[in-house]
Amino acid sequence: MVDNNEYVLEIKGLKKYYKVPNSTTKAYLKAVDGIDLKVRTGETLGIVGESGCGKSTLGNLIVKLIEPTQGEIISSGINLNELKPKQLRNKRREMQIIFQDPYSSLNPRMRIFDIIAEPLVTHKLARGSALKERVLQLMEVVGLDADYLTRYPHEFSGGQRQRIGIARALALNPKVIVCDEPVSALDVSIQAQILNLLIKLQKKFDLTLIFIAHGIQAVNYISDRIAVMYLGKIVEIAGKEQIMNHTKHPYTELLLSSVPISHPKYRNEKVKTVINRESPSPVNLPSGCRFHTRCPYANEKCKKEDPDLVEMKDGHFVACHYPIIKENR
Amino acid sequence: MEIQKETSTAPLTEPSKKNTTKYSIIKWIIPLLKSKTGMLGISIVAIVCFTAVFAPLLAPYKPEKVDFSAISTPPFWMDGGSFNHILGTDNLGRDLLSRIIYGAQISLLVGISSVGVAGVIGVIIGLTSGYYGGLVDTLLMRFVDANIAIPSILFALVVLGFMSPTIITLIIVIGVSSWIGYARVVRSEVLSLKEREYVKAAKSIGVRNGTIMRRHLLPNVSSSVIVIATTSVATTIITEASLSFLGLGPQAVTWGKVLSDGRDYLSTSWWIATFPGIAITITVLGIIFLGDYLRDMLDPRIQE
Amino acid sequence: MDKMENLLQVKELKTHFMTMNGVVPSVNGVTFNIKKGEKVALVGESGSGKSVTSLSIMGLIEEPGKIVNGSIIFDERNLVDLREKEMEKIRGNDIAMIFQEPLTSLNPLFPVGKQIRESLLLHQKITRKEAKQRAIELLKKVGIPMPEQVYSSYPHSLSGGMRQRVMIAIALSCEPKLIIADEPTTALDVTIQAQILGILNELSELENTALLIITHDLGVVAEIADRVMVMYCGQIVEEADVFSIFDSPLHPYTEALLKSTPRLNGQEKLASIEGRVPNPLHMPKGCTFHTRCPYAIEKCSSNVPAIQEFRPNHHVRCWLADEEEGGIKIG
Ligand SMILES: Nc1ncnc2c1ncn2[C@@H]1O[C@H](COP(=O)(O)OP(=O)(O)OP(=O)(O)O)[C@@H](O)[C@H]1O
Ligand SMILES: Nc1ncnc2c1ncn2[C@@H]1O[C@H](COP(=O)(O)OP(=O)(O)OP(=O)(O)O)[C@@H](O)[C@H]1O
Ligand code: SF4
Ligand SMILES: [Mg+2]
Ligand SMILES: [Mg+2]
Repeated sequence: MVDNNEYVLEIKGLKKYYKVPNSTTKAYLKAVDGIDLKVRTGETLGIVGESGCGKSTLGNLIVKLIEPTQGEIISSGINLNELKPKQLRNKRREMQIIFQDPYSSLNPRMRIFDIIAEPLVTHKLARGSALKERVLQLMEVVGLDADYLTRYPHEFSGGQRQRIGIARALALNPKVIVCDEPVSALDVSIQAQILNLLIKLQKKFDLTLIFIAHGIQAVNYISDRIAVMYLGKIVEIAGKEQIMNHTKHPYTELLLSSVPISHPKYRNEKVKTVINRESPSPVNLPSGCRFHTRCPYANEKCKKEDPDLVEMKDGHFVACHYPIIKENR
Repeated sequence: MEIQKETSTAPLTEPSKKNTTKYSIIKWIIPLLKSKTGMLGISIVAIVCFTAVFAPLLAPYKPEKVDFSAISTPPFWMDGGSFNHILGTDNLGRDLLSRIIYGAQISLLVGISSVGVAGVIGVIIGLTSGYYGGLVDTLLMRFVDANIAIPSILFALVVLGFMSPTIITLIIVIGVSSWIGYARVVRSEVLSLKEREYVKAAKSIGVRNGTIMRRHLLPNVSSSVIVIATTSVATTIITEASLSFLGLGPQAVTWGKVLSDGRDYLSTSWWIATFPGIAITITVLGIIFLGDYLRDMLDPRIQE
Repeated sequence: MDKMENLLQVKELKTHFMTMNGVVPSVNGVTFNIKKGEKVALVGESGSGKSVTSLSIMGLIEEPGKIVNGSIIFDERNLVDLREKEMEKIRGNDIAMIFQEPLTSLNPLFPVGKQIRESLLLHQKITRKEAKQRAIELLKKVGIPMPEQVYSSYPHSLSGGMRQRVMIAIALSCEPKLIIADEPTTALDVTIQAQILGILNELSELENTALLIITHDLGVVAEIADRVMVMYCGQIVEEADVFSIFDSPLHPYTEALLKSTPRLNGQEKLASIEGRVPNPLHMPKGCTFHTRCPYAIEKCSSNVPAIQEFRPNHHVRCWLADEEEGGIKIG
């Protein structure tokens, strides 16, 4: 299947380093440290990892909110680095982002109408009554009452605000939407509403979703494929079933075993992988495999050589010298 | 980076389904009637403006009219006072009430215009340097630091020493020497506002930087700007008074000038300095009340 | 059977906030018991009154809040009537509290070890040297590697997980009979959460300390609790042992919570609870959940259901559980 449209997005060797302020030596915080990733058209790709592993940085790089230190992003065959500002502005229409915090992601001084209309007005896509119609249509799609048109954000609950953010992202008919922890700040009973809405919209508009979260349960619910990030790198990526049932990277295993059980009856079955160490700082990355300080399987080789992300089975990539090989259950 | 959980736990009021008129005047009037200080503020400011505009009709005398037969007449309720000069006269026998009424013209003009000049300069500089950061910011902030080292009154003295102190030069000099407060406050607010996700969202949509500053940043710094502006109308009127006192004020009747004229006679004719002082105080209070009210009205979160 | 003795009895507790806009009934008639050494979870969504319940027990409600009704019996004493001085003795000594954000509950100006030591000296008659020894032991107990080194570190130089361990160590320092943990793992990463829960679980078992764990995460409940109380709009709507809650929830809210939580196994569509938590200033009439409840009957919107024991040790506040309605139709 050699199809030009197979991948909407190709990321090659993407890096984002931040200079550590007030450091005498040239220290860098490696927020994203060499990511290669291909995102298939129409899929939902989940990205999980602990706080500070660079998920948001990756998301912001993809939608060009920040410039990479190195590496390139190719979107439908076009290298974003080579675009002129004007072309980039047009390209932005294809890629949108939804944020985590429903409270700071909407301008408190703007009415709902103006918030959802902003992208359309900016790109001069509609005006007058056509604009209003389109805004109302978007509001309906995300399940907001038309009466709320002239209200201000502070009058809405977290879940409703997140819907407003989704409507704004949909306004330009994007191909890709990066969802940066869209449900983490919401109440449990509201999270399912938003997850189901995203699934519905993805089908309806043939969207490609990049769904970022630190909780693997939500990612597992919504994604087709899952990428696991650790300290700025992808350590494992595969189809959801593959990741869940044939975990290959020790870090993925740790993440999965840390997920709280879903029923008290599993209390005794649970294998406890108690590791006392916490994630090292992205400023002083460990030598060799960046997970070796916490890895129960690590040996000398792991301390010296950084494993590459290699394909072990069709579409199952792992960056580990000693991937876990389990018999089929 | 920490995860911000929804902290305000109080569910919000259910957006009501009535009242969808977009920009109705009623929306502004009703809260005004309800807000006592807002009412008071707007009344004071209205009265002062009215006085200034219709000064020739309201004032019983010309402000410069010297009457040697009535030198230092006290206000009417005191011994020796008369209804000819309700608030008394100064050392040259000029009617104090008339001088205050005429003084409102220049004092308001200078006060409000120079605050306007300072505000515009300060906000533009604060916005750009906060938003773009980097070299622009460093340069601007060095400039601000340098400027702080020179007291604005000194700056005004030097400039006015070279130029003839007309009203226009006065406005420009006071304005230019006091924009720094705005710039610093706006810049520091912008520094945190620009990290807000709605600014990122606007960028990701492709909104231009200028529009982001105007649409997303400016309205959100407006409350602080209003607070500084209203309080600095007061300082400006006083700066103008000090300049007049030093003989660098414009050749016109202003509250500051009347006040400084009276300072030499505080022990003998207290009223000369007191009444313009009261006029300044009341006006400044009125402007501050009005500013408070405006600030609340511009914030959709406080409106109700 | 010493273990069955009630340690804490909360009866008809009402804590209201007199705000400018009206009275917020944050805790509105809550009754429950905690036995010695028992691990109880209090679940519910944001704003349901979980934290206010725990602060009421600790006597930490501040203006404009007020306990307007009810009693809190701890060790045969009614905490509601105690004076601040007496309450201070109970806080930290008999009841310890762990908060969600450990950084704000630690003093940034002192090394953490010193803070544990001070807590020990305050509550026990030992020398400074012994106290230091104990503090290091405690740090070891909560799973901190290199406790001597951590003893002299300042809070800001520790990670979130480490700080939470220090908080647990401080809580343990006075050998309390009850630990109240208000969302102790919400601010932490999953891998760290698992460890902290493990430690809490182990220690409360080891020391026979009762634990009231407040959370909105049913996973945490499944991991740790013996008994569960589900809170909604300031009231407990269901209370039972953890297995009954997970296997046969009676209250529609509990059922909906369980069905709307994504889990790793089980791929069916998540059921979502429509609508949202009502505004505490305008609580709905009748059952507070009726505006969102898929099973609501007419009575629900007019009459407030009482909490009743539907099965042995399984309490529920729902009209469907009422006998007139022929018992529960769900679960
Ligand atoms: N503008 C910045 N300047 C300096 N460091 C930054 C900046 N943005 C992010 N970082 C650092 O980069 C690392 C990755 O941050 P990022 O926000 O991408 O993490 P994340 O995986 O999204 O975490 P979380 O789950 O907490 O949102 C962190 O260590 C963070 O402190
Ligand atoms: N100081 C206060 N003044 C006014 N209302 C308050 C105050 N503290 C709490 N409340 C109200 O009491 C209610 C319950 O709050 P509480 O903090 O107990 O919720 P919670 O269940 O702990 O939620 P969360 O999961 O967000 O921590 C909320 O509606 C809140 O607005
Ligand atoms: S490479 Fe070594 S240290 Fe890294 S995850 Fe694999 S086994 Fe562990
Ligand atoms: Mg993030
Ligand atoms: Mg709470």
